[in-house]
Order: sequence, then structure tokens, then C-alpha cells
Amino acid sequence: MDTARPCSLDGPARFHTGAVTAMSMQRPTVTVLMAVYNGQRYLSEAIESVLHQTYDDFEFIIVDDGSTDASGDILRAYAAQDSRIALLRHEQNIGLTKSLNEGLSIAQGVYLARQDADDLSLPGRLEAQVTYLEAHPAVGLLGTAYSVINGGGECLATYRHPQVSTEILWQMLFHNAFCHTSVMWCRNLVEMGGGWYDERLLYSQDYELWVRLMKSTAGANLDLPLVAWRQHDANIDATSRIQQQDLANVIAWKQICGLLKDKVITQDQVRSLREWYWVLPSRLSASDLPTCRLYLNLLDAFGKQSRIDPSVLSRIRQSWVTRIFESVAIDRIGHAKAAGLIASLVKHDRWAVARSVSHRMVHTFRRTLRSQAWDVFG
Amino acid sequence: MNSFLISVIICTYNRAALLANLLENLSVQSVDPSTYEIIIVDNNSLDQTRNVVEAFATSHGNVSYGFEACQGLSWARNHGYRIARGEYVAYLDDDCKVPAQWLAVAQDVIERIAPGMFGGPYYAVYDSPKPHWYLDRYGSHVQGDQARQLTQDEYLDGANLFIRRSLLEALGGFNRTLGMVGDELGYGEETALQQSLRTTRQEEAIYYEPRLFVHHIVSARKMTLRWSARQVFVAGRYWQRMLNARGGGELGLRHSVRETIHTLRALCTDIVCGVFVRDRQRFQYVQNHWYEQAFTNLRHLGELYELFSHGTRIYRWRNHGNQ
Repeated sequence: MDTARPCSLDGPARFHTGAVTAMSMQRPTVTVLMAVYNGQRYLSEAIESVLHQTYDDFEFIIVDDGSTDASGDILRAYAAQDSRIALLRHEQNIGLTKSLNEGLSIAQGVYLARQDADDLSLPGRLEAQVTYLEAHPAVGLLGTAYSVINGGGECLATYRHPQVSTEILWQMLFHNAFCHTSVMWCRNLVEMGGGWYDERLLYSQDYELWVRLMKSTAGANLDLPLVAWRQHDANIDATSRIQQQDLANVIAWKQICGLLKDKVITQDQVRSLREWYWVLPSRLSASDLPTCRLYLNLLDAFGKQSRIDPSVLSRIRQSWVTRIFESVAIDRIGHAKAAGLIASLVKHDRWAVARSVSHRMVHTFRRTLRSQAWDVFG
Repeated sequence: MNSFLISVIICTYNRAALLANLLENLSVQSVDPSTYEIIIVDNNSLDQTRNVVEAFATSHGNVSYGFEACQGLSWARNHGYRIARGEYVAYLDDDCKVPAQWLAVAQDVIERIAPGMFGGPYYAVYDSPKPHWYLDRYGSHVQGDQARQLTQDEYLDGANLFIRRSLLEALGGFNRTLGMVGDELGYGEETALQQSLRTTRQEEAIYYEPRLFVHHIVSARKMTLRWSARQVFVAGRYWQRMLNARGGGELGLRHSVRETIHTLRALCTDIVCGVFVRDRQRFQYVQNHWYEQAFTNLRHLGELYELFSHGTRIYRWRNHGNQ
């Protein structure tokens, strides 16, 4: 039977009709939230990875977002077996963002955890995250490192995001610093009003939500890979990659404009900032210098915020000053435009500049000088 | 003889299993199958390549098999465009995976802009466990997420490259001394092609379209420092060889020895610095530092090697001996 049924308090599974149902049980500590759209292939594995957690005080809300394959049947079978599963279903496919919000609206747990329908949670995931959040009341948003697995479940790679709040905040200016499927956050953040996914966003909805949550709480990432993200033909094929980047670009742009209130920043500049966050071009042209200067302005504005750990900040500053100096100074140390930038690099962190001069530049300078000598005399 | 909009050319050498996957992948493109053909150029493979292609050709139309006996990627690529019938030829590496909309995006670019040459990024995917230090960007080639015309010192990669066939013919195809030969590495034929396009035909645009992405399988063999070091060295050599071919300068013995010693010293310094004083936020593992910093010296050594051997008699003699 496909239509949603009114909730039956004595039955093993709770069905939802749109209105929030009364709870028959005590409030669980954790709500695990999953949305499914035609995900029959890996769905059972994903559900079982949650049901077999070492931590069992949770409810598991699964939103069937109008699946037309066997997902509905699989979900009903599991819901009948395990009373912790609550099913929501709608006939039309309304998209991940709205489905997640619908799930959030009936969530009861103190902590909310995400789980995607094709990914896996390792058995200790909920336990490790709940333990951490209870030990660190200041942290309200917690992700983990993640593995990438292929269709057969073989682990291909492990990825880590920055672990401490200041580093996360800095990365979040440019890129998402959480793996969506690994995140657990406190529900009181939702109750405070800001905790819903923005329904206008088809993609990058998680990035936008974490940006908002990080305004009122600290974030962290665990070093252990506790979830596994599955790389398969459907998500590797994603035609959405560019749209996703465009949306993420707008989210980053809004933040950066908010941080640098007195400056006009274009979306193209933000594009470069985001692209260069990972690796600066080895040679910068004169037109790239304003973008480098933007990094320094951002660092200044970023450091003036509250909740920034000064020691982490100085590490970030040192790293950026070195990177920019190395890229700028290779050819154009004497260039008038670059001179201004180099002066402000020195002002930001003179030791970093001095160090990179001593490490790398001596050799590069010599080489440049020599090659110019050949041009003249050779 | 019917003509197509695009001829997809896949040059392959002893990779029948990967090729079979790629062909499966290519058969589910979202565009009308009568608008493109697939040409597989077998560059002297010793494995099942021919059988794989023949099996695929029986179930799919517009597939042809070409055999190139001269070993070398450039030979195979040139063979490919000579038997192609499409208005554009698309060069695709045999270790790629293509998304279903790949050719649809290409058709869109051709209809809207019709550039002489265009291409897209490739992203790394893995079919075996990746070492911790190996970053996705080491195995990817991405030039931003905006469609645009490339500037003078940016080059498209040959793994995902589209060229108007008449233009490629006019340019005389790929330079055979700059490409990969068998298991030997080699880079530069596509760069040289783009340079000659830029110098001889300034009206033709080289266009980059990020939606035209493919995935590139990084094999376990490539995710080692040893392989990367060799790759960087060879890349330096081919870059210099390309400059030499355009009439670059020769370097005297004394200068090259001095420069080599300096570069070796810098290499050692970088290797030691990587262990002790690297920026751990930027280079999480020591391998990251070596790969991104120390190996630039290897590239320079490769350039020196080529520059030096170019100017000496031994090299010329050896090269004649090979022919």
C-alpha cells in the first residue's frame, strides 16, 4: 500500500500524514535523518549500518521522497521490524532539501544526525559523536572524517576536514568543511529558529545551513573516519557539479561580503578566492594581485571576530603569508604593484616572509639572476 | 559515406579491461547515436583489445577499429583523425569514465561557439585504495568552474580534447617526437599542437568548458612518489624538448653543470625541509611537501637534462641510432 496512513500508536511503525504526530515513547537522545529517492540498490546496507550502531538510544526518521522503485517496500519491511524507524512518505518527488526539513519538523532527539541513503555509518559513529558532544558543550556541530567506498564497499580513500573551530570557520568562508552524511548537530539550534535547510537551494543546502549554525555555535570534526561515502555511477555522473559549485559560490560570496562590509566584492573574485584556496597559481600576473590582497583583508576581518583562537589564527596567517609571498615574489619582487602587496605581507607576518626568503627564494633569485645574466652576456 | 558531428577517438595500448568499461560507458550517451562515431586505435596491443572492440561493434553501430603498428601515442592519434569522418574529433584517454551528458555538452559548445579546439576538466577517481597523502588534485586537471577562452599560457589536456578535424589536418596532426611511446612516458604533443595553433591561427579560439568533464581513473601504479618523480622529470624534459624544437637556446657545459649542482642542492634542501619544517596546515604529509615543492626541482633537472643533451653530439648520435 503506497498511501500514507495515519499514525497508529500501538503499531510497530509510526506513519506520518503531514501533521506532527504525538510521540508514544520517551524522547530519544539522537534522531537519525535520512531521505530516499529511488535508492533501492544500497538502501538496505545504509539502514542496517544505522540499526547496528553500538549506541541504541535513537529514532530513525526516513523520508521517502516519492520513490518509484522498490525503496518503498524495503523501507516498510524495515519499519515493520524495528520500532525505532519512523517513515514519512509523499507521492511527489519534492527534493532533498524539503524532505529533510519535513523530517526535521518531527524530530524528537536532542542531537540530530544525517545519514544518506547510499552511504554507511560505521558501528561506533553515533556513540563517538554523542560522547564528544556531551563532553564539549560549546560544540554544537560535529562532523567526522570520511572514507570513500565503491559500489562493492571496498574502501578507496580517506578524507579529513579541519578539526578545530577556527580552522573550520576559515575554510567555511570558501568551502564546506563538513561531510554532509557525517554531521551531528544539537536540536536546540533548530529550536532557536535558524536550524532549517534553506528550501530555495537545490544543492549545497548543507553548506548554507552549517554557515548559519556556526554563527551561534562552535564546530568540530572528529579525526576518525566514522562514515563511508559511496562513489557509484549515479553520483559520479552527477550533472549537477557545476550548479552545485555556482550555489556554493553564492554562499561563499555572501559570507565574504558580510565580513568585508566596506568593500565591493564581485562573484568572479570569490570564484578565484575559492579556487586558489587549495593551491595558488605558481605565477601570478599583475591582475591577480588584488585577489591576493583580498585574502589579507579577509584574514584581518576574520581575526577581529569573536570566538577566534589566536594561536590557530596566527598559524593560518603565517601559512597564507608564505603562500602568497612565494607566488608573488618569484618574478616580480621589484614590480611596483607587487611591492605594495609585499609590504603588507611583511606587515602581516614578517617572520613568515623572512623564513620563506631564506628557504626558497635565495635559490630562485640566484637562478633568475643567472638566467638574466645569460640574456645579457650570452 | 555518412558523416558525423563528432568522432570519438580512443587510443589504447594493452588496457583491454579498462577499454571494455569505457565502451560500455560511451554507449549510454544521451545524444542521438547517429550523430557520433567511436574509433578505437589499437597501438600494437598484445592483449584482448581487438576482441573487445569487435564484440562491442557487433552490438553497437558506428564503431570502428584501427590498428597502428608504429608505437607511440602521437602515431595512434594521427591514425585516428585520418580515418575519422566527423566534423570534430574528440580525443579521450582509455582510462577515463564519461558521464552520460558528455557528448551532449560538446554538441552544445559546437552549436553555440564552434571553437577550433575545446576541452574540459578531468577529475580523479580510484579503483584501488588511495594512499593518504595522494590528493585528488594531483590526479585531476581542472581549470576553474567557468566556461571561457584560455589565456596564452594555459593548455588543455589531451585526455579530453576536441578539435575541428579540418584544423587538425591543416596543422599536420600531432608531433611524433613529443608523445608517449608504449610504456615510456611522454607529454607535450598536445601542448605543442596548441602552441602552433596559437601562433599560426590567431583567429581560432581554445575554449574551456567545465561542464564537459570526464573522470580519470588513477591507477595504484601512479599513486607512488617514485612514479610522480619520474613523471615530473619527464614533463620537464618534454617541455624543454618542445622549446628546443621551436629553436630554443643551447646551454654551455659549464653553465649546465653549475645549474645542475644548484638544483640538486635545492632538491636536497627541500627534501630535508619537508621532513622538519614544512607548513603542516598546507602539507599534511611529508609526501605532499615533496610532491608540491621538492619536485619542482626535478622538473628543472629534466629541463636541464634535455637542454644539455640537445646541445651535445652524443645525444644526436643516439637519436639517429634509434631511428
